[in-house]
Amino acid sequence: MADSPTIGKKNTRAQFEAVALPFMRSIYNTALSLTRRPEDANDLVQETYLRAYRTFSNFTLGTNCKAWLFKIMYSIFVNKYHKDRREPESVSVEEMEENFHRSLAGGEWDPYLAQDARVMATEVNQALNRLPESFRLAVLLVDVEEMSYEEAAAILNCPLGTLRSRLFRARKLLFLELQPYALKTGYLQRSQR
Amino acid sequence: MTDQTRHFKEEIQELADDRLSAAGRIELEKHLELCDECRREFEALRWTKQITREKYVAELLPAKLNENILAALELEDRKSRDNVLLTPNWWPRQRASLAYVILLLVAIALVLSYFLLRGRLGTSPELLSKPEQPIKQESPSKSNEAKKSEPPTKPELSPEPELSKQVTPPKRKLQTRPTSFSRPDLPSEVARDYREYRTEKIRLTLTTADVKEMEKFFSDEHIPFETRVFDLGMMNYRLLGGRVNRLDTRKSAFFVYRGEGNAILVCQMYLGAVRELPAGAVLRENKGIHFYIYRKKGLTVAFWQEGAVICVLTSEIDSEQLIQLAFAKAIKV
Repeated sequence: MADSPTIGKKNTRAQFEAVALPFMRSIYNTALSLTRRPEDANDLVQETYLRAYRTFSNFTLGTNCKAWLFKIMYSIFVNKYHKDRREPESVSVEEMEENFHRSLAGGEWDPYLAQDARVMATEVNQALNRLPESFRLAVLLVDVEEMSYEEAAAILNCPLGTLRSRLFRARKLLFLELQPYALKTGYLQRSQR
Repeated sequence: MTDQTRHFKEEIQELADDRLSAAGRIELEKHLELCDECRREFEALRWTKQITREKYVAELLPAKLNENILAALELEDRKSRDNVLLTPNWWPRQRASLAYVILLLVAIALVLSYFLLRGRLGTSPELLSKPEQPIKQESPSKSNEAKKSEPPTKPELSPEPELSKQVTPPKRKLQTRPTSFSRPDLPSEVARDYREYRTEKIRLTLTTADVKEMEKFFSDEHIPFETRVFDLGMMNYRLLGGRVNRLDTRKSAFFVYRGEGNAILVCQMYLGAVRELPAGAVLRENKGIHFYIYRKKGLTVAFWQEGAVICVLTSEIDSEQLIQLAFAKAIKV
């Protein structure tokens, strides 16, 4: 049939839409977390999808489309948005480690009490947003998007050990941020029983 | 190892993420039973991971983001199609080579023309003062061969009325078939079909007001898709009938409605894609479907995609009224 090339092209578009568009919310959410501005996140997501569509022939159907899209997005972010507003990594690792261990050793932390804690979504989101960018991204990819260490390291273009280390520190920082809420509401819940 | 002298560090996180080997897991769990510090650290990390996964709330997508991305993809399709048609793939790579070849050819032409001119001036200088014989003074007896070699861009030089007739341009430009470098102007073709129906140059093969009968007709005529003939009775449009038409090089299902005040509405359906449409459309969107609206000398032409099929409505009725009809009848496939 004379129209077959047209229909073939349409199939490519349909395939792209079927495999890539379902991840738009995840991509937008991480883009927003990186750029911190909705209009920049919008642009970043659009650019990501456009570049992904242009290079869709390089993508192997059946492989991890979500990781592929994240990698494209992070690459655009680093090259285009990151230059202007690189955040200082203002966390002192030694200080953070010290605080973390002091917090655990002080006897205040009770994992059983924390089970009763009612930490709110806004508190988690805010705590996550206070993390330095590289830490925040490690947590978003592994804990929120449920990617493997290997996938996250590939997206961030860093060695596996670096990813592991960032994640370890990010979780400790998050713990320090969330612990006060947990203890407060945990004690409260326990006392109401 | 349940060695109290060494505390585990990142292995604790690996345990929380279930990434340890069986042996490593057993070793660390034994250690945790005995080491209060490591156990607290493990519990804290596991709790943090769990609370983040459970409580983190993703932001909602902005309302227009999905739509904007689809529009960007559509634009990308159009651009790539235009590039294929207008820019050969080899152009960027071979640009330098091509420039050299052109320069070389120009240089050769200049050198040749110099020698030719010099030769002519040298052997017959009288040519400079003698005007050439005008073509119109040539004898008719030897005109046939000479005229065949004349450039076709100057037909007015020919005194022969027969030759003038041969270079008459086609009566209807719109009927010109596309070459491999030009796209069919589908909105103009559709508008032309509408006018030809109006002036009875196009006649209906089947006259019927029955939608099902019309659909069966198209099926019997081997239209290569399932034709959905609209029932526009609610909008006071009555089906008059239809025929198998041709748009560009493909078959189209052509059917006609009559509304109040003898308003005529023509619908055509054919296999295609909206990216084949030319620039200049006004884009409208309804229920997630994009409509491409063209104005053609008093006619409104509205295209939209339904699966592999393009539907197009044409009429001289008010544009907005036609667009609303299209909105009402289009379905997302």
